[in-house]
Amino acid sequence: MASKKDPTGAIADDAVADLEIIRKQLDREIRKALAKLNTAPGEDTLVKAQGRVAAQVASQIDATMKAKGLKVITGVLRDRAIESALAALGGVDLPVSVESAVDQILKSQTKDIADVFGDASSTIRKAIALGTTTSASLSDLIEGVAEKVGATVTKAQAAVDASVMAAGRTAVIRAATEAADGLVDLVYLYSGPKDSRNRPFCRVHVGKALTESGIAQANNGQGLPVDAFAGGYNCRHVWSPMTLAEARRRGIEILE
Amino acid sequence: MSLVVTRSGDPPRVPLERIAKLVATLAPSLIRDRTGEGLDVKDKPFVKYSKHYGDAKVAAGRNPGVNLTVTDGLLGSVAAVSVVVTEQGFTIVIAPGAGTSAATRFVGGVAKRTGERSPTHSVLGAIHHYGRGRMPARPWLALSPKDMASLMRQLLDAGIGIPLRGR
Repeated sequence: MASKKDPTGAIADDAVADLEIIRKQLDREIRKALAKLNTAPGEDTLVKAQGRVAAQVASQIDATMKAKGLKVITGVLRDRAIESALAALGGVDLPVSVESAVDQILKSQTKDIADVFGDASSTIRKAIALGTTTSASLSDLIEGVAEKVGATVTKAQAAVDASVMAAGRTAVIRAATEAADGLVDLVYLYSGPKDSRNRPFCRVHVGKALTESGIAQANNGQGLPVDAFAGGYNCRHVWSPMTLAEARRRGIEILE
Repeated sequence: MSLVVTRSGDPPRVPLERIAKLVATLAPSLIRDRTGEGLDVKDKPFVKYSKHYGDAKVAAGRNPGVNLTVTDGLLGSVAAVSVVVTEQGFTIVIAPGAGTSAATRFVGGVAKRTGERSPTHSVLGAIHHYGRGRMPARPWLALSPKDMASLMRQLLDAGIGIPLRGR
């Protein structure tokens, strides 16, 4: 995975650096807001109390951004259970082809995660600018920024989950092919929900089985590889390997 | 859940490590597909949803059956998380992953994303399996008798005949 050449490390570092910039910006703006409060006459006790709360919130935002940003980025790419799951599917030593395929997915998908944080920098900065130029209350300003931070972490988590799912699909096919090589012919059932939310590709394929070459030739119309993304980004379907003979016994239609 | 295979007698024609890899490849799909069809570890239909939740799910155009899916992230994440091969046999642990799904509520005839993420799939899977509070247990994470029969058939397709035991 990322550990050998660590192609995802640089992207993760960039995203963390981006978070650091936001944090510094936050610090500056919150200090400005606090300074404004300090000049307000006749409210010493209230100002002190608000100052204490603001400092606490600022430090919470700081900690949240750093901890969650780091956790989301490095946690998933280096430590999450998918790594051991893939290792298990491939045996004690992860086969090279599985490893490189998964690496490829993670490399392309981590761009999404970095983009999420990139977008967030701009929206959070706008929120701060709006809060300071319109003289919004300090608590509104902090609340607004905290909300953006929360939304960013959620979006990053979603991007991470999509990339893990895609890597998992690829790994299942590669590992199954290697496990069955020379022993038995496998097909891959397009497994998952059949409902009104199905994309056209999914509607056609769900409940049917494809051979490995059938998957390689299939086109989901989204410009994304079918083995990794099935019907497209965030697709709910997965590949369920089974022997060709079992698929025939169950009367499953096989698409070559 | 874990799947244990104990070897006795002559060494198998196919090395145990290869058999373990094949089982690790085939078994998670059986659990996923059976659960998606609404059947528990005894091949019986799951305990029904509450009327309120069931009605809301149907109103949102979702499958009326109980199949532990809203986003399908939970079932999609089920995989073999460890394979241990020894001279005596092998043990495969199968579990949901550590990812999350978009938290979703059925409100006013639509499935609405709340903007939050779900608990990790492994936690969600355990809640379904064992139940929690008013939520009844819906045991799903094991090979059912039909899953086991299918697995044995598929191994025989590969020319492998071995005794399997799930727990």
